[in-house]
Amino acid sequence: MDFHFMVQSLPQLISVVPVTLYISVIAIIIGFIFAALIAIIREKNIKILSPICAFVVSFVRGTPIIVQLYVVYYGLPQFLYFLENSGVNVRPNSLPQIFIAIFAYSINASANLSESIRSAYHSVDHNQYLAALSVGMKPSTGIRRIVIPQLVPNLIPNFSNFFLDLIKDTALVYNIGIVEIMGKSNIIASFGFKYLETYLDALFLYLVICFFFGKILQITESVVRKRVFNKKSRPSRGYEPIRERKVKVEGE
Amino acid sequence: MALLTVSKVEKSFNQNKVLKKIDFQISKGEVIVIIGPSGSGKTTFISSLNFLNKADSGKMTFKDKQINLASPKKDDVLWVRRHIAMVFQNYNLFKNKTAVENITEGLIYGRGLSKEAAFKKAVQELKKVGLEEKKDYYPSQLSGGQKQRIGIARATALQPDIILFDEPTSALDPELVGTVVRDMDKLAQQGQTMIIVTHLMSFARKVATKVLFFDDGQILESGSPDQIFEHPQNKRTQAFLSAIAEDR
Amino acid sequence: MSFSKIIISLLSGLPNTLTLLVFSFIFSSLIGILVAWLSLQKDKVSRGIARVYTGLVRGTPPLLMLLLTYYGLPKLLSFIGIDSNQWAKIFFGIFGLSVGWGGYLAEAFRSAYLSVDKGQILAAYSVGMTDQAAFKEITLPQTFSIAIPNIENLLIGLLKATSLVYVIGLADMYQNATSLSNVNQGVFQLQIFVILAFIYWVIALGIEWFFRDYRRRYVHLNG
Repeated sequence: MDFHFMVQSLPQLISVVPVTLYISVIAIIIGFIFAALIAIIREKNIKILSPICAFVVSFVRGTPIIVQLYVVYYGLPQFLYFLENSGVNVRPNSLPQIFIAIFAYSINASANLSESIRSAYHSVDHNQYLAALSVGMKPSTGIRRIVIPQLVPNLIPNFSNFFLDLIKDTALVYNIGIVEIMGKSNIIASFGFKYLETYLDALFLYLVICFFFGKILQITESVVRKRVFNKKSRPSRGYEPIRERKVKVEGE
Repeated sequence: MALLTVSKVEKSFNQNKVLKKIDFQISKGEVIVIIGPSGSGKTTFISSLNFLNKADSGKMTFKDKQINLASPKKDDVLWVRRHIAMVFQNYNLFKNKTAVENITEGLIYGRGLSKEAAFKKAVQELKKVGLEEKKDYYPSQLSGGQKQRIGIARATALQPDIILFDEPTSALDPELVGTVVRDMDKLAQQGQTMIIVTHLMSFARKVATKVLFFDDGQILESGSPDQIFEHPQNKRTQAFLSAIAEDR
Repeated sequence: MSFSKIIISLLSGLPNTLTLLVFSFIFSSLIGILVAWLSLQKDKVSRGIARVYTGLVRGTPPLLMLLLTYYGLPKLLSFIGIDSNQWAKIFFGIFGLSVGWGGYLAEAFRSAYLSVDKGQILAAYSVGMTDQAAFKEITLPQTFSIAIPNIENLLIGLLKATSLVYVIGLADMYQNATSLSNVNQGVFQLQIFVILAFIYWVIALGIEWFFRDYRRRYVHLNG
């Protein structure tokens, strides 16, 4: 094994890491927004939209990402041609591959994250919601102030798992001509048939990226969990502090 | 003049008739205790009064307003919930809020008080149950008895016309039951209208103005505590009371 | 190119897809059980190995895992004197997918094991069961029950991952789709891939149906 080659090629690979990150981050953000919408539609069981969403989610979650990538790659230009023929002003010919990639991965993210959001939502004890209603809160207020804050810490682990999967799935976009880590690895490797060395370099980079984001999300989870459920030693707002006094409490 | 009257309340779960044409009435200052075996529909009944459980049919007259239990108007439901509060068996304190915040949530979002007014009131209520020093504690840091008393404080802070108690002491260790019972007794003496589902017969005898025996979705017998506990007329009431004899 | 022609052509890759799925699932489950067992041991070495393995696998794209297996395994084997140049590609496919998915299954088994109510084991001891009996009769079945939903998801994930073996030149359904599309020079590409997607989806639905049926039949166990 050619270690010298490995060390030499590493900077070249690092130079395309931003492409990997760019696709991943944009796709997860767009995906999350739509996932929240889909989750709301499905939980409220909105007529017509809800079954459509259910079908799309099931379909997207049941098909390989690479197939989805190609469906978008071949399908989106055709759809745009169709729109152009119907008079809408688009330019199907100038569709950049990166747009296709982000489009495909965003749809994938929306479908998967909508399920994560729903499961986190159901993980919150229904009685918390009933208690909110019992003090006269409107249902929407109850969801906003009581249910959603408790949903978020339960969502983060699933979100984190999916985000890492998304980053790893971007390894497939070289198939439609985008040069990110895998694409660059293939290019470098083909120069001297040094496949193993280049792939090990790529492995190293993915490990670092995943470790980094995984750690950040893990820390976020514990911070959020603390903030939502256990904000010890936070003085109460808007009031003069109660003097330290031993209060005699019956029976405690 | 009755404060709250409901008539012909019915509810079924999956072909199972859980409430069978119940008629019920309570006047201001009354403390009505509901006893009966598990599964008789007691919880379903009282949670239909604040619409946490929607009845299949029935009529409600509350503070002279008529409401259809099966298809109430949204505004009516909110109005009822802001005048009838509930204390749950499992406390149901908001897990993501401190003790004091648990009380202010209802005051701010249910009653529309300002943040400052809500805090003032909340701290006052906590003082009343002697838990002022725990105001910044989270439910996970409190004992069952403390949580339940905060649950009661959350309900009383709203100054509701009626408070519903759904087996408030069933989830508590015996030695903590006393403190909760004392708070409820105080409330009764202050004239709070209460509907209490409980297994504590001795407490019921002391504090109730009327006792209802519920069984199999119906009110089988009703009367003063003396009448029900000393001279039960209905066979099933007698059977039930002798089965829990040690509580008397 | 007619609809049925496309389907027939794609389905000719189904045997490979299913072979990869079934064998990778079996082997990755075995690896998963082993790694989960290691992660629950008292000594640091075992737990360390488990942690390193899981960390590696969670940070590696399955595609890369397959490529590394294809290029790296022969090298490793040659150190022990085994010549793997003649081995069928499917072996590398199964190996790569198994190693890659084993980490996820290990996590599923481990967390399911830790979720079993401790009271259950105490009750088992209290009626006089030995360690082995308690494990076999109580812990193991309950671990399995708890892990089932995760396993279902992982199985579907594995199904989707089989499409990646194209990268080592293995002819599964996806590979057939790409060759078909290349042969037809871009005319039916969209149809080909949409139909391919539907085929995968139908298999995924089949898996879901199977698990739902299992859950329905054994619902009394999971109460």
